[in-house]
Amino acid sequence: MSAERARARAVIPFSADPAGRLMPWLIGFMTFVAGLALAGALTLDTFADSWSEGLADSMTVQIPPPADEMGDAQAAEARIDETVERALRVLRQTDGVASAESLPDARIRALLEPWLGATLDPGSLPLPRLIAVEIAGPDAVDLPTLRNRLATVAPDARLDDHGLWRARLVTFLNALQLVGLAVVAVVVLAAATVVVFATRGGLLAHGEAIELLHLIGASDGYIARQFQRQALKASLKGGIGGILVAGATVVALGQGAAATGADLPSPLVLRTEDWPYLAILPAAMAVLAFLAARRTVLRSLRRMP
Amino acid sequence: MIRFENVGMRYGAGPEVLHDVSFELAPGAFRFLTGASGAGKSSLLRLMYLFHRPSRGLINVFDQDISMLRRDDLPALRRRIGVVFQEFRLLDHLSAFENVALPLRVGGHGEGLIRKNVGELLEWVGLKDHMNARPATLSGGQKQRVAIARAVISRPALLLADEPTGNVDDRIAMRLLYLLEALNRQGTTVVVATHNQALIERFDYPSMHLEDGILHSRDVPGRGPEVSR
Repeated sequence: MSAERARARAVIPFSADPAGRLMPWLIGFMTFVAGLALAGALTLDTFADSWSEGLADSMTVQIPPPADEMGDAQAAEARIDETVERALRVLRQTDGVASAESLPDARIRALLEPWLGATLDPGSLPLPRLIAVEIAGPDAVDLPTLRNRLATVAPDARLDDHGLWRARLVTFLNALQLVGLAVVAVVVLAAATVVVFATRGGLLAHGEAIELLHLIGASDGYIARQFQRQALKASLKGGIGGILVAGATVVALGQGAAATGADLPSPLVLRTEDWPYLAILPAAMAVLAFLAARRTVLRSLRRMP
Repeated sequence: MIRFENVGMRYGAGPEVLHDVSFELAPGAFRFLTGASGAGKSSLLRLMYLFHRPSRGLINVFDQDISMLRRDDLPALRRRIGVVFQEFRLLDHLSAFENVALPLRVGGHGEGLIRKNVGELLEWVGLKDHMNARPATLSGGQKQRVAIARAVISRPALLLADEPTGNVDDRIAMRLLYLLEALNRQGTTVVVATHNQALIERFDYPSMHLEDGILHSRDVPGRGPEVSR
């Protein structure tokens, strides 16, 4: 059936209806916004996984300077060196520890520089020694046993497995993700509302045709099908356009982020397994538009005798 | 076919526009429905084509008490009733062919049957050469014939025509009445609401006369099997 024939046969002339003509554009814009919000939420998921994994594979051992450091500086330095060496030995002998290295002064100074400035003499402050520990996996090390063993060789040492920071980070990223998903939900609901209002506009604009169909024996379902088909077509048209633009924007943002050369913990692009979620969005919008149009028409027709 | 018993009707909380209307039409009847403007002809027709429910009384259509029917049962009954509206009510964006085909599409008939039946009917009403014409390009008489063709395409048991000759000249009015008479001879019950006294006298079928919402009937002996009270 040619497009001309199909147009000629459309029982209700939706193409002459301004609200009907505007609907694909509105749905397209909303799908674009929802697509970006969904991509953001999925990217945050990637970030959370990546950062969490990175932190789960490392620990830090902090050895504070001895309390009498101000008395005999050299003796104190020698004592803390010995403590660090003992702690390193314990760590390197522990199952599940891939590596354990004491951070050199230069590295500690670099870590403090953003807060204390470049001109500070680290020797003027009682700084702790830090040991960076790489572990084979999140549960590779028996932490209570390691803490006990460290306590015997370095009683003041503090073992930080980043659990608290990791938990806070994941909570924060999860909250951001929820905000992203809430934006998706709000936009999808707004799209459904647009469909409801466009359908109501269509019912008013085509009242005569609808009444005629009703009088010649069309069931409510038959009339609703005209509207739901129109809503499905318009939302698929707009939704596919919107999601393609959103997808292109996400790719462009990812390439832009990569071009900055920033040391991001995860590339600002969607994982392969995330793209289907974006692809589902216009289909979900179309189904919602279909159902919203059907419900609106059926409710309205119930007022007819 | 159709029976009204003490039917009253009002629009919303307004005054009653039909009072105690009672009549019965047997299958194959032909009736004129007459009355001055505002007498209630259109309201009576609306009740007959099931677009309104009565405020009181009983309406029985095709042996079914409509007060007992669910809303979902009504479309099937409406498909057995053809209606020719006074102002045609053709869909301007559809061709004559598609306008006539509408009841068949609504009834879920196949494309082959639609092509055959609509083509034949448009030829019968003399519009074979105007199948693809839009209503805006047709004359009043041609539009009326399209409206009649649409009303009868699904071979309704009951045909209701509201002032079918109101917008056409006498010559075309006569042709339209011959058309309705031919349909009646094929078994369709026909009710024609009209002001045209000459037409009523020329065809001399029984008539129902409405005056201030009250129905008066005038039977013509020997004309049709209908019963009127």
